[in-house]
Amino acid sequence: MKLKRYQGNPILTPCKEHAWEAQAVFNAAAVYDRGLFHLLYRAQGVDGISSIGYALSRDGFNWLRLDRPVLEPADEQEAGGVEDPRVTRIGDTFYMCYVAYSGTFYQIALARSQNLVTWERLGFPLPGERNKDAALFPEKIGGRYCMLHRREPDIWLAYSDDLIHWGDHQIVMRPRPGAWDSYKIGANGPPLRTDAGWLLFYHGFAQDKVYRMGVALLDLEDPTVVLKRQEEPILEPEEEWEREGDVPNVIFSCGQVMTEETLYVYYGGADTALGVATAPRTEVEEFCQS
Amino acid sequence: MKLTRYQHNPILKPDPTEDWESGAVFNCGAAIGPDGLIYLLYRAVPKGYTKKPGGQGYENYISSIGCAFSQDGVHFTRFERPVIELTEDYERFGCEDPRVTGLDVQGKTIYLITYTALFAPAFSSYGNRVALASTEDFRLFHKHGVVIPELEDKDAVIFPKPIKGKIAMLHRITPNIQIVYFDDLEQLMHPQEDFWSKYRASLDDFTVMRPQFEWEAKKIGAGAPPIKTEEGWLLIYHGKDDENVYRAGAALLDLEDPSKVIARSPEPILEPEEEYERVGDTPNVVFPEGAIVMGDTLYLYYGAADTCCCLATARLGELLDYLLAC
Repeated sequence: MKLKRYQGNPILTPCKEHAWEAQAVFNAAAVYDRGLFHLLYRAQGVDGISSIGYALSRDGFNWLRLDRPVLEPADEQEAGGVEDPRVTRIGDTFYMCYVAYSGTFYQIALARSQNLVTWERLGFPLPGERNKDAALFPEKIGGRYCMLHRREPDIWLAYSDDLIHWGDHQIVMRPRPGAWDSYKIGANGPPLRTDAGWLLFYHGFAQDKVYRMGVALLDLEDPTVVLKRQEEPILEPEEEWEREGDVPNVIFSCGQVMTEETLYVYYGGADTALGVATAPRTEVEEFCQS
Repeated sequence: MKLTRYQHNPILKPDPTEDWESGAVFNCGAAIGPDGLIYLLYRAVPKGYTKKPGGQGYENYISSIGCAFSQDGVHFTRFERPVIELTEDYERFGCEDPRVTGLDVQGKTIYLITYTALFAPAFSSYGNRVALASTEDFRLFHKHGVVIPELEDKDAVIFPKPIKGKIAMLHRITPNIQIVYFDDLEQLMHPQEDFWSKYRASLDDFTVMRPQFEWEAKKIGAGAPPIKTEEGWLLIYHGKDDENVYRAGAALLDLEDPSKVIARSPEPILEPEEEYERVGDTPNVVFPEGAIVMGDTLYLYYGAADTCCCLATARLGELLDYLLAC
């Protein structure tokens, strides 16, 4: 499976007029709700501190942004920034896993919302643990909430009954020696349910420190069972805006949307701007079934 | 009785970094959204307009409508682009003065937005029509065209509840406030051919209020959509005097038959006093368009001097007591 870049990339770029998003806008969670595309995107001010902005679109490509962030650092634990949001809808509620960065320490934080613009914090799922790349599964598995996270260099998962207390940690996937994802890997957007399994987009890099995107399929009942893992990346830094920027040679996704016809994968380029790449739904299904 | 201004007015000012709202932001409708947030739909004009030589008003003055929301009714977050802008022929010279009412239609709340659509340049003596748009979520907006054809008309506000089973709307054929009824949304959007000609023929029967006091002698018009109270429909409206000063007034209309005025304040409840109301693109204007009730407080959102958005409040009970004693 390969993703095709949108010709109009990048779709979101820093906004010089708003200090809070003047430096960079990238890593965005994506949701498709009631006929509209929504993004929760990481925005960085010239002071280097990240907050989370919100944008809306009818077609997935042209965006209407809010002039203020919807989530900003609240206290010392977030004083360095709130970063890399992944949003999952479970039932009628939207949950956001994000990274709370204090300036010296980072950990996974959780918040929830009914409308994607006002958020209620739910604390830290794995308090005191240096961790990131967390994303919730959109359904309970075996009656429990399930969350992907990252204990370097591997992708892990954990289970919870209440979204507050997490345990039963297990490894999902590891880096592959000799491959493009041989050093470290981590989840990108939240797992996407398909009939054949959970579709997981993930990032990885090798010695060259180039962040590429891969795709795997996890078993529906036990996501630690990897049914398939594509050998080649589905996307890698090629365009100038992906190769040059605040952090060169990085493409990093925090979310994707699947409509009736198309998969839209939203990804940050060089930690500076945001783009989208797509694949026809039929191609995704073929990958899953084969 | 006078309304109490929010101490840190204005609540929205023009934004020099966004072209479409860099000149002025004012006249704002308000509603509580399906998510409990307070939404403002506000009129915005890009800078670059110039005074008309020798006349009143401006040239190159084209309005569109922006959207902002708030949790407390005071601090607002805006969308960067307008949510209603000129896409249709009937509004090619601007979309102005939005009012919004949430109406229950078959178990769902639909927010109906009436606005003035211009097919002639602003400050012409003609070219104003009442147009309709709607939204269910303040994210996706739909247009429904001009709803009052062939009549110079503005200041249309829809009642938030049906009256005797019909959708009721106030509007303003200068200089009075009239009421019109529709069997349902379908008739509002697609009336029968003779609906309006029949209506116009008996306009007097449908006239609710006429200018009565000096401060509103030139003309009056509905401000915000009426608010249902036990005592009657609370109508906040505007009046213009012979010196072109715009003030806000209040009246109570009968619940079953709003053409019966139960009470009417002889004095305005808000008039241009602060500098931001007396000085601006159109001096000496307070123009109320949005009114919501939170707890026991009335929040009145108004445009000041055609330049910025402001807020004033009152205890609802106090205002009603005052009106009933008038």
